[in-house]
Amino acid sequence: MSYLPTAELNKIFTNPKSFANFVGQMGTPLFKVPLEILMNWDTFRERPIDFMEHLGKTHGKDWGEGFFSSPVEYEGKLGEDIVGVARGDVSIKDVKERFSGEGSASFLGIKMTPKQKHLMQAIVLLGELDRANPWGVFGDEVTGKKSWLGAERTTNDISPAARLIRAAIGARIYQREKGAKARYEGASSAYAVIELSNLLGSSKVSRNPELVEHTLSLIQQAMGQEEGTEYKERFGL
Amino acid sequence: MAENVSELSEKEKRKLVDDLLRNIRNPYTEADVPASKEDIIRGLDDVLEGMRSGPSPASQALDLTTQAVSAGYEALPEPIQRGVEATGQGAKVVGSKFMEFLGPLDKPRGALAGAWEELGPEEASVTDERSMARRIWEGMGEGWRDPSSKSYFPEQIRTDLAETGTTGKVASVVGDIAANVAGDPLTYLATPLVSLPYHGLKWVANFIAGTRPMQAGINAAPVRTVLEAFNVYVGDAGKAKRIMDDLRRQKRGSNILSDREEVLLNEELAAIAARAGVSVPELKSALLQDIETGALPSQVDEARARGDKYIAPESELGRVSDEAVGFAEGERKVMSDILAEEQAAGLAVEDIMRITKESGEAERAAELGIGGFYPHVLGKGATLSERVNSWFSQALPYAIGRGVSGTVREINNARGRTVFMDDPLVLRTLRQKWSRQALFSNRMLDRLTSELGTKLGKAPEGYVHPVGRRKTLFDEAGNPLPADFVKIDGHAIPAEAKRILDKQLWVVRDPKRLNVPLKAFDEVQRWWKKYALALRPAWHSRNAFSNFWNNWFIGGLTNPKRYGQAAAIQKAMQFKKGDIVSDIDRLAGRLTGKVVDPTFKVPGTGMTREEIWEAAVNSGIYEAGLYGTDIEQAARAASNVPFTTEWKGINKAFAAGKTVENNARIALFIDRLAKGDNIEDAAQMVRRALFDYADLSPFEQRYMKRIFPFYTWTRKNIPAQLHAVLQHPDRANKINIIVGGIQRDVPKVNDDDIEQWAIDQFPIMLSGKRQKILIHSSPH
Repeated sequence: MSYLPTAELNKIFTNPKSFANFVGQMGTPLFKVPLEILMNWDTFRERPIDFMEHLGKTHGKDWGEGFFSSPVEYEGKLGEDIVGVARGDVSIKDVKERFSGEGSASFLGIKMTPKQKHLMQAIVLLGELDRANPWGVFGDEVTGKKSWLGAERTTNDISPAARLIRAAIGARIYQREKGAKARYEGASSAYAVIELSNLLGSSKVSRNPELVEHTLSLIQQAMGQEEGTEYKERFGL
Repeated sequence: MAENVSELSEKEKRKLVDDLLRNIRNPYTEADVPASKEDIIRGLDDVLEGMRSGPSPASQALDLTTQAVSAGYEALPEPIQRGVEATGQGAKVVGSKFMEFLGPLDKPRGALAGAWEELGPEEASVTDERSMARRIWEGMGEGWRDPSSKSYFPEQIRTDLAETGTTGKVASVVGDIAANVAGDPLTYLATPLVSLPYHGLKWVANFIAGTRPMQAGINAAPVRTVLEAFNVYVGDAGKAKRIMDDLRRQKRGSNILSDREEVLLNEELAAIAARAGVSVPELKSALLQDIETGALPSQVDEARARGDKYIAPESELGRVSDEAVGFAEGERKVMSDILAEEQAAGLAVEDIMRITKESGEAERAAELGIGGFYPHVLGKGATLSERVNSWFSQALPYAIGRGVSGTVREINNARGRTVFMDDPLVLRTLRQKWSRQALFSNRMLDRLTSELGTKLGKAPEGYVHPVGRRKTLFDEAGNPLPADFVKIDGHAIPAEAKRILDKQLWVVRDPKRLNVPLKAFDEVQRWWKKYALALRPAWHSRNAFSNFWNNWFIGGLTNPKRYGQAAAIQKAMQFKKGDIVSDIDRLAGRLTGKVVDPTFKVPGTGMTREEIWEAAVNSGIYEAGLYGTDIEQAARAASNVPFTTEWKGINKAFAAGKTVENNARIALFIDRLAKGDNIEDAAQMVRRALFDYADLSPFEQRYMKRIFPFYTWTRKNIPAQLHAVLQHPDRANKINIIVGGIQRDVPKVNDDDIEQWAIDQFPIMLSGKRQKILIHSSPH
């Protein structure tokens, strides 16, 4: 309904929170995005940008990916790779492989840190292009198809038809699911579990046994289970 | 499976994550009964409790929840269960307080539609033993209580259409909306009658505002400051603001006419070049060189009359043709007139022709080896450092004293690149626009003194000024002026008008005169805005839809032909055609044998297309949209480099949007003229419906627009929509009918089935089936 210019009255008069959100979303990205990255908080989605950094803060540890982080083995090699490709010493395939390991988020089919992704999304046109994901060129999370740069897709896309409608007229078609809001509100742990589960699959966590143990214990806590036996038993850990 | 979690393979990790997600899947997916939020949260508590104690959390959770919700539902009395199942979503929009406010407007239509359902083509059930009168009465009652449950569009037709597929569904929705718009009694009430509550409220508000305590409150400095910060002016300040707005719009209109004149002059020059057998660039180069060297006959005569030592070379145009010389003389006169007007206004413009000795000799011109003046504006060949230097400059090119010897051609030739623009017609248009900007404050003052003030006179003979009191001012007839009048430039005007003049001058002064950090901020934001909007089809389609909507909702435009008439005006008066458009026009003309005639009279208006276009331009409604008044110099410096601010591709995308917006503006303008409005009233309505984007207070321009990039739209749109809802409840009720029509046959949707982010977009239900679906718009 917000397609109607008249529906802007909704945002003003519905409730103070709706008004505050409306004002917050209108703010210039030139102020908002750097501040959000600094605070590690996405004001539109109302959640942390880098969930690991968020966890780290709670536990006094530096687990975040930061802004420029990249796999240890790849740091500082981008320039060398570009020169290498130009000389013919390095193949595009090698570069693709190395790139696909950088950061836990993907945007436009390129692996990057969540904070880099947040910055790139501020350029609305690029964000739209990423959401449109034409012909699945940026990968497909469901089928596991890799992107044009060999990266895995980290976001779940809506159907191609819905993406086309959204790109053409800005209206989004969304499938309703019974109890969706209640699940969201009533079981806030669900969100935490999903995020933590995603973290388990990330390379940074899997290389750090202490972090894996800690993440698993957090998942169990979020699911309301006692820390310890059951989960490990199920997976033979 | 690995012993240590850190040794898990990728596949094992994925399995682990998938299992986790399966454990937290939504237990309500399979439930097929409406559940309240409390029920669901209670159920979720059970789920979590089950997870803590039971060996199989997922299945136990599902069972527990289904049982809890089903038991609660089954416990309800049967009639209530039936009622819950029968209730539709109607015109209710999840999360929308606004629609709750609008809902009651639909009651009269609902009641009549309730009666129509009983009277209409669908036959009553044979088991229904109620009398016709009773059925009608009860039908009206139901329609009054729940308007969207009743429709004039027969249910059978709706169902039959919907079963034929997507096209049928769309036809069913369109038919339903059309039938209910036609059957809405508010549609047929005369506007004054519909607007009675609004006028009542307005009268009360005006009455309250006119009372002494309220006046004192409004005029109290803190209140007035806040009001003016948001562009609300009252009293003499309001009058002054209206005059200045009027002038500002005239200036914008004049600038558009300058652009058109440039195109026409280019055509004229091309014809002269063709007749003389020279190329257009050669002719332009000779024209600029002649004027700059002072080689035109009139310049030579004037130099001789002044006794200048500088001797101009022979005229190059003289060798081309007499009409080329005549054309150049006209151009030179335009430039001289601009300068003369600026000199008369006392502007401190550093100009070569003003720096003369008392004897009248153009001394500096002689030093620089030139006899005439065109501004130096960086051209395509300027280096990065030259561009940066210009960017840091706090003045526009015409106001900078010339320090480089030689004419533009000589400078460009010496450096081997186009350092400065060398098209005399482009330079002339730029110069005209900058001059209008510079002279604007003088024109403002003239209008204010003539309309709100008076010329100062002397005190009557024998008048003795009372000791210790403020000096009284007198008009030319010797009458004392009110105590709040102040002196300005030989006139007296109300102090409030003077205050507003000073305040508004910031808005209209030289746009480059900003400090460097702010300029940098504005440039980055401008780039961001351009790329956030122009290349997105979604933005263009939403913009076009908003224009149609506002034209109807605020402006009352219902005749779609007006858009066609507006398009014909745009085509007839189009002057900045690209190659493709020009080719299409030529082809269309050849195929149809027709051209769009500017002298054609638009039905109902008594005006030709050209007259309407010029009236729209002069009243400042043409090109007054979102595209703003960019610094002209930047707009001229179109770039072929993608992702730069002035990339040609993005400018073309903006131009396409501008054409659509101008079409809506002219369509409403024609509609109002055809309905009997005069030009000013018609223009006023266009500004109310589609807004004047340049009409912001200095505070809004300086701060609000920088903090909120799309501030202008919201600032203009919200008051306009609120005003329209109150003034035209008949139109506002059509929102109920449209939403009700789309959501017809959608069962009541539980708010808990929609996530909060979707609720925040005020979704409309397209289907009531379990999997289906909502629609909302993306931001901006």
